[in-house]
Amino acid sequence: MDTIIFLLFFATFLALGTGRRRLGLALFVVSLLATLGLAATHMTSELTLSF
Amino acid sequence: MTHRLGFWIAHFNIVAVGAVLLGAFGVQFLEGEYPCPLCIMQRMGMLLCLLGPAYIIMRARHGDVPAADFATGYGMSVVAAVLGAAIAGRQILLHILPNDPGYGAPMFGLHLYSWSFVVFTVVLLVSGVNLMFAAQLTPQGVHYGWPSRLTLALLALLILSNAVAVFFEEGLHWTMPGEPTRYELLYDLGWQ
Repeated sequence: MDTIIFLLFFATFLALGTGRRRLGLALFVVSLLATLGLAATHMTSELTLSF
Repeated sequence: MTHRLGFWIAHFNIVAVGAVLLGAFGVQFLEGEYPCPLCIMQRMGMLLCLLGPAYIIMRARHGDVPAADFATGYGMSVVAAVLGAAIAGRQILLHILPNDPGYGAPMFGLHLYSWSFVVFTVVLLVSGVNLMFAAQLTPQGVHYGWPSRLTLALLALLILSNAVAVFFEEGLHWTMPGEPTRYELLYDLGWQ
C-alpha cells in the first residue's frame, strides 16, 4: 500500500508538471486522503485518552 | 527583487526538506535503522509539502506566476504539513511517558519524529509568511532555468527512491509490521 501511495505522489508530480492543473490537484487530494487512510489502518487502541 | 526572492524561497523549501529526507535515508542505510510505518507516513507528509513549492516553480515555465497559483502552492503545503504534524505528533505521544526509550536513536537530543514535527511546524510558518506577503513574493520576471530543473529533478528522485525503498521494506504485503526488523521483499525471496 505504501508503494502505491508514493507512486500516486509521482503521478501528482507529473500531472502538475505537464500543466494538468485540475488533475494534479485532484491527485494531490487523493494522495492526502490515501495517506490519511494509511494512518488510520495503523491506529491502534494503544493510546486511549479520557477527556 | 522580492518577486525573485519568492521564486527562490520555493526552491529553498524543496532543497531544505529534501535534505531532511536524504538524512532519513542516511539513518536507514548507514545506521541500519528501519523506518516504522509512522516514519514512512511522515516522509509522505514531507513529500506532499514539497509538491506545493514544486507547483509554483513549474508554473514559472510559462512566465509570471499568477497569485492564485502561488496561493494554491502554499495552500497545498499547509494542508500537507497539518497532516504530517498530526502523524508526527501521534508518534511523539506514543513514546512520551517517562522512561520510554522511544523509537530509534535520538539525534541531537531529539528523536527523528520530534524533529519531523519541528520540520512540519517550520513548513507551516514559512507557508504562512509567504501567503501573508504574497503580493510581494509571487514570482514575476523570473527565469525557469537549470536550477529549477535540478530542484524538480531532486524532488522526483526523492519520491521514486522512497517508493523503491518502501517496496523493499514492505514487499508484496499490504502493510508493514509495526516495528520492522528486515526488508520483507528480500526475506520473502530468501535473500535475507
